[in-house]
Amino acid sequence: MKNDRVNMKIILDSLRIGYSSGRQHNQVYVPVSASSAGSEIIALIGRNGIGKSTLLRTIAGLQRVLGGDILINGRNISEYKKPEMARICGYISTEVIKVDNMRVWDLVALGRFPHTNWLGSMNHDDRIAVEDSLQMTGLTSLRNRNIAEISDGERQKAMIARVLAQDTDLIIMDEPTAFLDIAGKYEIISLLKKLAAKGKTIILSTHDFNIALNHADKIWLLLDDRLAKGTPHDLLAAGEFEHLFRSPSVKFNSGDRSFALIDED
Amino acid sequence: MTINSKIKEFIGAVFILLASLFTVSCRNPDSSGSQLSYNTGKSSVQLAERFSLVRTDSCTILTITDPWQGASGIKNVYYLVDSNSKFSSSIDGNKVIRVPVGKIICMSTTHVAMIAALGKTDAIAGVSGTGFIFNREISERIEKGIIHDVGYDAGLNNELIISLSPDLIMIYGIGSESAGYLSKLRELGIRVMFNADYLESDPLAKAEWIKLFGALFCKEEMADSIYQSISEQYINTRQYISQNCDEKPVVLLGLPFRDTWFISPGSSYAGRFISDAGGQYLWHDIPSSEALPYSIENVYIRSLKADYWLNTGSARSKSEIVSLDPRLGKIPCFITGNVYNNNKRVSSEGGNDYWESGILLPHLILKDIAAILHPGLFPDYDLYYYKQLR
Amino acid sequence: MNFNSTINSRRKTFMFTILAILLLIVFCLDIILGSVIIKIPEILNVLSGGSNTEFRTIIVDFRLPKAVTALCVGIALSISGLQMQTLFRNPMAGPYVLGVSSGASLGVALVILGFSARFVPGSFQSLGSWILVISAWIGAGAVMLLMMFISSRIRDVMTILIIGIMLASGLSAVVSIMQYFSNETLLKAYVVWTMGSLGNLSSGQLNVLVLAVAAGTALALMSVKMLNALLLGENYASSLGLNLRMSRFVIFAGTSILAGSVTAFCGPIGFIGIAVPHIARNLFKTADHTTLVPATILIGSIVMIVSDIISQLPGTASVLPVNSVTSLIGIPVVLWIILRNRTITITS
Repeated sequence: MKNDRVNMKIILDSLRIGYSSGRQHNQVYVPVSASSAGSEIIALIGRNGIGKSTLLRTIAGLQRVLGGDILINGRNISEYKKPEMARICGYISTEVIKVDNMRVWDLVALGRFPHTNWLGSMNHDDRIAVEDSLQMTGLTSLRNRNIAEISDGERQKAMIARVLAQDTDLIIMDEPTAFLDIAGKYEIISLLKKLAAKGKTIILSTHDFNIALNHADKIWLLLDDRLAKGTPHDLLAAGEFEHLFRSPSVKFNSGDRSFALIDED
Repeated sequence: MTINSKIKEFIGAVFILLASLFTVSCRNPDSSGSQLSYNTGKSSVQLAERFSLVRTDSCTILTITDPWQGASGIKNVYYLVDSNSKFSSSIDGNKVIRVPVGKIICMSTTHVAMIAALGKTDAIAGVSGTGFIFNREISERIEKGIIHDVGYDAGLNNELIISLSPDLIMIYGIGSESAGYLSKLRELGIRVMFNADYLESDPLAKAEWIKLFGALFCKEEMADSIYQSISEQYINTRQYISQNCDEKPVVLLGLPFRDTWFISPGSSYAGRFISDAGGQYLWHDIPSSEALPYSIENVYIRSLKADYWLNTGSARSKSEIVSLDPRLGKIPCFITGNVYNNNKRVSSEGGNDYWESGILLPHLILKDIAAILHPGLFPDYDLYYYKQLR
Repeated sequence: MNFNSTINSRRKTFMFTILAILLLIVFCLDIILGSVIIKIPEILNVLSGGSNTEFRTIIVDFRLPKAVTALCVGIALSISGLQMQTLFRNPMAGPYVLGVSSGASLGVALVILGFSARFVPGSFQSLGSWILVISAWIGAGAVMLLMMFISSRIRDVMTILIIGIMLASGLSAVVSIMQYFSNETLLKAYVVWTMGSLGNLSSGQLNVLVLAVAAGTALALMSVKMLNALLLGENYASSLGLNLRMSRFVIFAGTSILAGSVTAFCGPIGFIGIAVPHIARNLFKTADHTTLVPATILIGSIVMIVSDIISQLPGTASVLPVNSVTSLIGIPVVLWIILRNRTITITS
């Protein structure tokens, strides 16, 4: 890992996200403006279907920008070539990967893809990067295990190790803790916090309030009509979370961060 | 292609049908006396194995047995009853065919050839695949629109067939599938008859099927005398050959398809001609009754012994054979030039007379082959069906 | 990607050595065994320039080209099957899912069966063997171009798979219609073509086949890294910097050239393309294409040559259609895959 990196800067400027087929644009969310100064965990919160995954995929360069700009370190992402983009941004989706006969080591080694030659041969540096990533995620002892045969938490760690091996400043993760048990969740979170402390910028989506409020540096709250952003503390103080609950029977109390079910009678 | 499938090919290709507008009674009351001479209770068929004709007082009983490859235990019985007489109520009316047949549709060139030999071309209302006909008279009728093309196999034009309202449709059997699509025609009241001439491997037995048409058109005596004459000429030629030839040149037949060579047995139609013509068929010893797939290298190694190579599919020249597979050019009798094919008489559209008139002129086929195998046996003889490939 | 630790790489070297030796042995057996029995001293005599011209013809003109053809066919079908299984992440995918073989079949059917309407049965024979090859190639090439056009328009690779399968079914339906209206002999000629054959290539055709297989194999080697990334699906592959459009193009082109040429020269030969990649994965216990591509090359050619030996029924005069032999070998493998049923799965 490089140690002397400059913090990455990300700016979303009136970014419009959605799907396009031909000339037809299907915008899924209001234009988004937000930024990050790097070396932090940003949590995306919003109801299902509001466009969290689309936003993440768009920032990762996997989906076309419908309008507005994404600037990474001052350059528009449309100016980045694909391999170049893959060296600054890693991505983990909600897909569960189970490939028969693929070992943990093989999966992590795929992270070196943007760094190797046309045949994908691994040199000494590549191997070191893979070993380091395994060590950082605590998977060294599982390196020869088949990825179809390890636990969900271990597999998620292996996916993170793959992104670490990819050696990118920006890591984008779609619901990284979704299928994990409590222990698994917190192992992942503590790993992510370590990575952020080392200078990585992590943008993740989650439905877990606890994780977002207690462990994210910033929250981007995707409300129906606008994006509310700030530290967890700021957003709590502004009472923004209450807007998430459209049903009159659920109430969020920003003061003590608790939910209440209201009996309508 | 083997000889066997070649036969099927040509039969399959041709489906002849036609409208004859007038049915002419060929039988007058006076002729009934001569019919009595047939009324012996025995079949008048001598060599052919797949059909029999037995005269009774009131009708002729026609029995066709196992009319397609692999059929066994099948007997199709028809009662040929004079169009003027009544038939006994003990006879199944569905099996009665009124003779003489006025309009016939036939699926094979051999049927056409036999009808033409009996002078009944005007009875042909339809054929299958008009392009395969060699006979000039029939071709002209096709051009004039008197004879129609009814298609073949599953592509049969049922509506056209019905509009022609034939008294009989004569087909060659390719198994139960055929029977399947023909059941519709039967349902519509059209008489369907399976002809099995193509399954007769003896050239004379094949020719004897003219007697079937003789019975259908009430020209028994004419058919008998034609057959008699064919038979005499064939036997005489065969005898002449056997008396004058000691050597038996070895003969290779057919062409491979890709790397598989379907080999007909010695008892096949083509195999019989070779032995009758004083030759030895390269595979005379295989016991099968049907063509077998042989490896091309196996055929090659045997072909080293062959002196002559006959019946080379549709090849018109040696270069066509080589373009099919260059290795065929290494067969010794190919190199020496002893390659002959039976396509001397082919119409512009590809109708091969070997498969048409050849059925009634087996002695000419025999003479051709003998003349090829034994140069000098018939001085100044011009080959009729065969030609040497160059 | 060289995914490995030393124990595994030693095992790998061992396996490759064994397979290479096995390939050499079956190749020799294919030349030694045939319906004509030739004793080994005579074979050696021929190979050292001996004088028995008949045996020489059999070995040099019949068996050697056939063995080389089997080698090429085994390589081509196995590699293209591997590529399709990885690209579509479907264990049942094979060289023909893009419809190239159906395209080739239609080309051949148009020649063999289409002629029945106008020409003498069997006249296609006189056009020589190139006509079938060229028509099959045109058919396969047309389908390949169509699929490439479609794939440049459609993002989702599964949609492309479905379109490919539908296209193949549609083309087969057209062929069925032609079969339905064909007479028995032409039908038989077509059916014999669909049964596949390895032993009918002239030396000129063999040269073309070898060139085509070499080109397709080169494209497959170029696609090794792409295929590894595609194991994770197109999303992840793209996030790793893979140009999806470009990689689809390379993989489709490789598969079409390989499967199309084999179909053109030898007919549609089934099951090898589906079964061999699975055998390779399970022998080498890896998903890494730097290992799998050479492994499928070796295993595919061994299996195909063994199928050829069996189809010749050594010592007898008769032969079996090679396609039925490959099916009988391939079907148990495919069944085993279905029963095992977890080769490449991804759930969302």
